Amino acid sequence: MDSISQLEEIKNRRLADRPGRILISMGTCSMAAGAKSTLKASVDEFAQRKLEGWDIIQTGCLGFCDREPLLVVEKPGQPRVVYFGVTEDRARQIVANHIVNDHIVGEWVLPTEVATYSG
Amino acid sequence: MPHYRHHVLVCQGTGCLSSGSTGVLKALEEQVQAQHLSDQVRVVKSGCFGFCMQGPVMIVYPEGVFYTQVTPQDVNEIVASHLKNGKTVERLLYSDPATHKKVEDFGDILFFKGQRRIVLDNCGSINPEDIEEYIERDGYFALAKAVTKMTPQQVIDEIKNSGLRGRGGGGFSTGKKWEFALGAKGEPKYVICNADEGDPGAFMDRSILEGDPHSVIEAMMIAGYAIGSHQGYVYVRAEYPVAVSRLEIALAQARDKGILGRKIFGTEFYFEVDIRLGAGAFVCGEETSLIRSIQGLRGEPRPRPPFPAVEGLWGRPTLINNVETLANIPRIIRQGAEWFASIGTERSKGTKVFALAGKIHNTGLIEVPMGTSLRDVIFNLGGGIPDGKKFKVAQTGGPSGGCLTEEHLDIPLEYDTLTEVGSMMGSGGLIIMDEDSCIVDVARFYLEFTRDESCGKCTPCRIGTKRMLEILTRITEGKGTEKDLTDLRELAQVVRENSLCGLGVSAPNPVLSTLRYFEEEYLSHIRDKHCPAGVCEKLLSFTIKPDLCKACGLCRKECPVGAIKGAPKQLHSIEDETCVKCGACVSKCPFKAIARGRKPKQTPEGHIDNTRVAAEARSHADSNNSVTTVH
Amino acid sequence: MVKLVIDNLPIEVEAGTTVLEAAQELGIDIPTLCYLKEVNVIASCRICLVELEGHRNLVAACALPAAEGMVIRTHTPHVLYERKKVLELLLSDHPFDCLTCFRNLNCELQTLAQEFNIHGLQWEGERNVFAVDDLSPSLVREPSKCIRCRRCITVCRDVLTVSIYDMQGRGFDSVQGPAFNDSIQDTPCTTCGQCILVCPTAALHEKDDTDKVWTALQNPDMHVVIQTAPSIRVSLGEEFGMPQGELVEGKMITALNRMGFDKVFDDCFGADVCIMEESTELLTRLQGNGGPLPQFTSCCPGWVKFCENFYPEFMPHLSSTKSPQQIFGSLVKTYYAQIAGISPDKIFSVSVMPCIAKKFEAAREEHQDSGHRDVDAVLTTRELARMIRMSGINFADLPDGKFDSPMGYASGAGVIFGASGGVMEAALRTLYDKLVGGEIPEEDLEKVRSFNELREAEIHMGERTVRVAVARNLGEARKLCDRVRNKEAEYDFIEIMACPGACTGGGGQPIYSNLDKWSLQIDLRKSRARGLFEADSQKKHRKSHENPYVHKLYEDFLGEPSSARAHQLLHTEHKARPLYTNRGDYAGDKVEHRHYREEHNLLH
Repeated sequence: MDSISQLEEIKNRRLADRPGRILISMGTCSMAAGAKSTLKASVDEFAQRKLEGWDIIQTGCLGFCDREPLLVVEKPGQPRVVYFGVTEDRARQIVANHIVNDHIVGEWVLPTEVATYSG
Repeated sequence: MPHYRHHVLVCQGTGCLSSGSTGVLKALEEQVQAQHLSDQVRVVKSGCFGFCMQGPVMIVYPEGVFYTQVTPQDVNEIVASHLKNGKTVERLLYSDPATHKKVEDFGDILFFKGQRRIVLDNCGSINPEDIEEYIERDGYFALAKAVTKMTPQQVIDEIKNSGLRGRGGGGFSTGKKWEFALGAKGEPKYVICNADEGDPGAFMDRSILEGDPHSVIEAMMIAGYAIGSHQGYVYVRAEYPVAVSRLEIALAQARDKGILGRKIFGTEFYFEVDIRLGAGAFVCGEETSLIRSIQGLRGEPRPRPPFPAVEGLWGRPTLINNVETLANIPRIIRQGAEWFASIGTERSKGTKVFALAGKIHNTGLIEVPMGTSLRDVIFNLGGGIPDGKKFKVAQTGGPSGGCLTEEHLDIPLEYDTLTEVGSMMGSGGLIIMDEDSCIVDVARFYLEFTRDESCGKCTPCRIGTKRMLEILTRITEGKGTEKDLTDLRELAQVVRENSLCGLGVSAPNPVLSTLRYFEEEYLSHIRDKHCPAGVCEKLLSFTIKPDLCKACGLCRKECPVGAIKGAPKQLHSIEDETCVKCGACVSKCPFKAIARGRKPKQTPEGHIDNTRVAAEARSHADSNNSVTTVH
Repeated sequence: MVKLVIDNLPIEVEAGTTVLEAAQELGIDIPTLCYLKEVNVIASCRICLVELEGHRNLVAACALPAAEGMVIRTHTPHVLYERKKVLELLLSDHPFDCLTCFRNLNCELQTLAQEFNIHGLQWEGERNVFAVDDLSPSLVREPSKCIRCRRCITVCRDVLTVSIYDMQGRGFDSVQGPAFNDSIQDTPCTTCGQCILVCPTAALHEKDDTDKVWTALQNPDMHVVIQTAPSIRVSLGEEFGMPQGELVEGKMITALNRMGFDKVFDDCFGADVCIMEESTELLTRLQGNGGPLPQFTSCCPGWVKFCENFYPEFMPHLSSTKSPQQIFGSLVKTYYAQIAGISPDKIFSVSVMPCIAKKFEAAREEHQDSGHRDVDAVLTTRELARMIRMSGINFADLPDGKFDSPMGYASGAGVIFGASGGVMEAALRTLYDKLVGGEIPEEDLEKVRSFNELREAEIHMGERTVRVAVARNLGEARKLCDRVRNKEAEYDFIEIMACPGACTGGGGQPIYSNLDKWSLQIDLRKSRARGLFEADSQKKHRKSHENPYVHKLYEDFLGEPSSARAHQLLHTEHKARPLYTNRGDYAGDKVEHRHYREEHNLLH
């Protein structure tokens, strides 16, 4: 890479074309909590419904090990929603409810007063 | 597909149903209909939020506003004010409105709200296996800036001015370390990233490598540029396979993109990074041991000076920085020393990642500005102690650190303050213990760890940790004497003062600091043969509850040492002196008639002090009460 | 130069000097335990701790480079307290069997315990108990007595490049030992015994064979003869408080006579015979009729084992001539038995050697060419001294005795076998005489007499130039062998001795428990070697082939050098051996003491 402008090119290209994203935490603790199944189920659900324009991304750990697996939905023009304890089944339901029907599944959203939930 | 402005979730869990949420739901549906909001508001029946005590509960998205104890009469107001005009109905919010805001982004979730994420910024937000995602978030811009627009000295000055200190435990000024390495004579020079995270319960380095490996690579390259090195090594434990593979992928991508390698950003600077796997010995986190380990030798420290900056890997000048330290570097270069120095306290700048573990609601990793109070960390970010138990102690710095007690809840978490109170920052492990943790047992646990992890090179650590462990074990078994406490203190001092490396020097910290704050608990084990927390096995007693015992004799047959006396149809009893506390009888008893509990305190003559037992029973009952009230 | 202050005394030393060395220059005695000058500087025992101003903790003086402006205090009450406590910790993991210990009254740990006025331990607890490894015929490892100073590891690895030891295990359970805690006999240990010389305690010591010798001496039917190696006569006196390197040949003979040895012979006679055979062999090789060049000496059993283990391709290069000890052994039970008219099975042949590898050599299966075990028991200098002490002999006041005939007279060449370069010099004296005639020039000999570096020389003998090299220890031997292996240098004749300073510094020599041990050893070797050359200069015959008794031996018994009989009795074959053997009969794990002494007595 010869210059900083090449870096900028990459950055701008990516920012310009921004699809909806599903971020699934995939740190060691996440995997221990079953994040691999979460990922598999999400990918499968997207494929079955032939949903396009979405990136499903594995990320590092968000730090909230207690509530793993965590799944983040970034829908363009909408707030970012963090789901916790996303089992295979929950992942499928989140796709159906949130992605398809715009219905945030409040029950599994990391709430503001987290301490009162017992994971 | 209609786009709803609001989703209203009305809890239809059993708890809320019993407090009348059916009526609330009905009222809401009617109101929405009546106000012609059907295409804007979607009413959803939801499952239990677990917040039954405050039911009926309703949550309005996207704001995430939480309404509690909602009656059908309140629904009109909610619809009129909130759903139509966007104005929250304050009166119906959870009793502590300060903690109640909308769920809009990470920053607003309580767990994330008190955090200031610099090194963890990308963790969980980007795909660590895609270099472009890193670049998208300004990755490698700092490197580009450093090598094209700054001199090595300018880079070092920037780091120095930022006030960044080593995050691995020592807290030495990173900029100064770099300057020493720059000034050291000898070629080639090496940059090592110390990813040999060893504190039990700490895993921030793993998370950074797993979630944002490029930030570490970029930082190593900047360091290489600053000190004149062209080769970096990441020394990472083989027990972190995910971190290793992500790092490998990141390195390959950085090479592919022409970032890592020759002619970096069109300059003459070149740099390579290789991975070296460690077998996970705790002592290999110590820099001279780490260097030996990379060289293929037994991981053992050597005396310093000479410091690695002068004589390190293969005898050459070597800069060793911890993962978390490095992860700060790109941000400092990008946003400037001044920005970084504005975060934190006078002498500890920036943020610190802590690994929350133990008796705390929200176990996990948090990153907070230096100087955040322990109370904030435990009770806000951490969500407090589960089951309504009382906070007892927080262990910082793992086996090298010390304990913080209730009186320290409000001290700022920063290097110097922690050292002053007999603990240390360490790598950031934060283990929370409640009233059910026995402090002597905790000290024993840490000593067992350091005894196991001592390399055995120097006398004080090799034999001293063993002897300390022996004394602590004695005390937890009720065989301790008061002289043991003096001996323990003196021994701790000898080990601390005379050991060869940091492992030995800091090994006595858990003992010294617990002795400092919990001497009474030690004495209770020694004098009264009583473990107040009811943890120490040998100080437990097994008793048969007369009202439950059916005198079936199963326990008597099960007991390996014949400690249970009794005959058919005759109430059984357990002889405490003979009992080895194996617990076999407890699992055998079909009537749950055998109780495992702490031994009552004994007066010096060995008689049971009834007043104490009574007080004990009372306090136990109290704590049980407090549990029920919370739930 | 850097200036610093130690105990209020200013001193200026060269950069790179340690605080310990600077203090020694000032005459300040800082105690040490793991330290071995220039060899083992690892700061692990923590006995040499001192106060360094501005430093929170105490620092180890041995590894602390002196720096400008340092202020050091070496003996404050605080320092003394900490040292004492560290020592107490060390003692708390040590078996207190001083009374029956090999190093009783000659133990560095014991000495320090006494110096520090230790009469009880503050912290007692579990002690490590490891099995004793006494399977090797030469040396015994008692890991329970190990204080983890690692001198043995360093000396074996860095000086001798054999490296059979390292730390095994971790933390409290760690102990020095061969890999996997195997028995020493299963490793490429050369049994040179340098580890014994540097061990501060009795964790490593020679296998004691004195009882075997006492039993033979008690037996009226046994004719007990003893051969004494050259270097014993310059080191035995030290065991009795005499000056280092003093020649005590006469007193030694008298002592042996009084103890009841029937004949006291000189191993140097064997050395002379050795030169006869070895120089003939070399001459044949030089003329192109023998084996390949270079020819390596084979009189050092440590080196022979090293070569068998690490350089198997050099087997044809090793001189087939036996060592003086073994030559002597086979002659005693053939030639001497015939002259004296004693049945060889009634002869008990003892040797006293500065060496523990000689025990191993004597026990080798092939060494029974006389039809009997050539040498029945090997004593070291230390064991002989113990026997003399036991016999109530006042060694220093003994009158001088004389060696017995016919194997008691040696030329000067035979005597200098004990010094580094001595075998080379002895061989060159004879070779020169044979090729050129007369005395080899003194300047040529100077080239091979060495104390310091690996020596190489080209010596002109008529039209022939003989290229020689001398390695003073196994570390140098490895360098030399690699050079030959990689064809970086060509030689005709190479002398190699395993121990630093050859036999004068052998692993069976007196042990000094001084603090500055290693440098002292170097001085010792020098003074002992001087003693040998002095003895050489007093001899009438300086060349082996001029020894009249050797002449007689060949005339009456062997014929001529390299004859069939000489080959049968005085030569041997060397075979390559595997580096590690796993016989699995020693488990070095922590167990109660297990002794193998009886079952594994390889001599019988």
